Amino acid sequence: MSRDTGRGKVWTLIRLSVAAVLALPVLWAMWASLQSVDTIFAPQGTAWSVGDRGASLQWGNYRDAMTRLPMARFMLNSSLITLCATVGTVFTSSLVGFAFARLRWRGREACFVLLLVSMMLPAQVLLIPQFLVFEQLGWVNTYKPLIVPSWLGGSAFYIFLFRQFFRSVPRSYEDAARLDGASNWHIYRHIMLPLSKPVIGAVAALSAVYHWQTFLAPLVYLSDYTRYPVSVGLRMFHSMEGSWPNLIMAASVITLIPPLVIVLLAQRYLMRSLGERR
Amino acid sequence: MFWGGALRKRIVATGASGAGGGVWFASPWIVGFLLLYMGPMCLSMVLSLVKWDGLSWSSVEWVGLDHFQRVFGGDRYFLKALGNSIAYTAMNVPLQIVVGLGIALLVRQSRKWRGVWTVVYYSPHILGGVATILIWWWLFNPQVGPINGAIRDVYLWIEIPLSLLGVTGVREWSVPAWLFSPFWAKPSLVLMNLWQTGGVMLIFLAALLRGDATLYEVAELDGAGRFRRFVHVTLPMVSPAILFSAVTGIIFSMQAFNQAFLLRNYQQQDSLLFYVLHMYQVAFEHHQFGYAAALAWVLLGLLLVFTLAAVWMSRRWVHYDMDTEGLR
Repeated sequence: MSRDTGRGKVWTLIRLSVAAVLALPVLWAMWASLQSVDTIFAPQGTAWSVGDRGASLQWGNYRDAMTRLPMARFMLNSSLITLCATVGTVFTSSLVGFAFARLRWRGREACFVLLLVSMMLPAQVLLIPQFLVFEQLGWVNTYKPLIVPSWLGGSAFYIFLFRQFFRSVPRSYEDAARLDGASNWHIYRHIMLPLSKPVIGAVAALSAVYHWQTFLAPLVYLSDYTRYPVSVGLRMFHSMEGSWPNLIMAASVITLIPPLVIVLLAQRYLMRSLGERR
Repeated sequence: MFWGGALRKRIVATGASGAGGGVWFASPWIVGFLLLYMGPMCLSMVLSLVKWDGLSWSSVEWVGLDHFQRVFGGDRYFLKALGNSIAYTAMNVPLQIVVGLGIALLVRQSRKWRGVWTVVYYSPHILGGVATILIWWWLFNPQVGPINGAIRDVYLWIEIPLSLLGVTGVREWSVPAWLFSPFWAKPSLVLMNLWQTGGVMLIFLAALLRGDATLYEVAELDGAGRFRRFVHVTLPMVSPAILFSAVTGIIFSMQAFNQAFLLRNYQQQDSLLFYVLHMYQVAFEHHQFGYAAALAWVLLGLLLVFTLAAVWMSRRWVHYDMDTEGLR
């Protein structure tokens, strides 16, 4: 649309400045994570004078952030939850998506309507009764309430993504295999899954980022702090007596790295799957 | 994980009969629906009619519709929380839509680097966790945060030009107390959300790229300027996306919890007491599970009304025909 290059350059400049503004919070957090408390608390600073104050970078802050609270432990917990939940989400949501897209069974249409309705149901409305169900099952203070739902189809949105994709696979692929006597499982495992790499990538990335950051569920279900994931661990840091903004920023920066890496690795799949969303 | 193995065996055993037997493939979701949705929904309905401290079953006491009477009879905290959530939603949703559309237009304009800009603008949306919220807590710090630092810088820069006009004391102008002020607390969260407009941007970008580009050429031939092309081509083109963002935005904002829960403090004087935060406190801090369940049902009803109202009001200005044409 930019016919004359002068105007095009102005727009590029605008795009660059928006990107810079978006990067600033994370850059400031990185800067603050390497300062001493005194530097950050120096009175009445302006943004400019903040720049002059940065004397020496305190890399030790990262060590302190990991040891003042068992952050390493929290990260390990989060990794475990994220891994188990993501594997379950990809496996079961693809399975169910396949059933909705390519198999015939009684009640399929009715179930699909229920699936769409459950997608619109606000999660917070179910928080309390779900808590009571899990409490009756004796699952409170375990990881089961955080992981088992992912093995039960995950989120309706992921099932929907898989269903849309599987519906676009030509019938002929399946028919040829069926003539050779292939079972449903064979078709799912050896024909559908290998074709659906972009959806698997997108669902795995979205689910992993979600479970890494999820806060309300672990807050409600976990009471023993050695089992906390990073989200609740960071909150503990935030609400502790005395504040160490530099250490909290260091812990936050570390926590942001896994989601950023996941998004960068999966960006191709994300763009394709989300972009084609109808 | 044992579940996966057992399920697999079952599926292999029954799968040989053509495209039938799909119930087994759908069974994880069916079990999940019964256990995580239907069961809790029924339980919640019963719960809203009883008084229960959540500890022992013997303390359950039937109260009928008392909880709903308490809600609609104007429980002070309910009204406060509902008002806060509605005010926050009313600020958040329109701003998200305007900025999201603006950024989507910026991205569309760049042909060569469109993918890169999309990823750059979208990535903050992914970083929505506690870490990000704590970063913003310090960015907004009134004394040492960089946001007020930048505002003080602006005061310094405009001091001399303004003093020529006879305005003095610019240096002493006040700066917002952000999260420590009842007035600024909600706008702080709204500003914070603007950083994450990437999600809304993506919806608009998809609608724009699907749209028919020749409409612009026709409009230009008809002598329409930039503004008229925006009003008569772009806006109708993205109108379904506006409705979609408005509905999801309302549902999302009315359920806001994490930010308010982490950033609330005494100085805000309850201005961040949002609906779901109130519900959480009633259940898990005051142990009134029955009343909390009633609050949840009232929220569900309100969201249904808001959604239907948005869809009903939109029927005059949402144009689906252009959109579906692009789909084909």
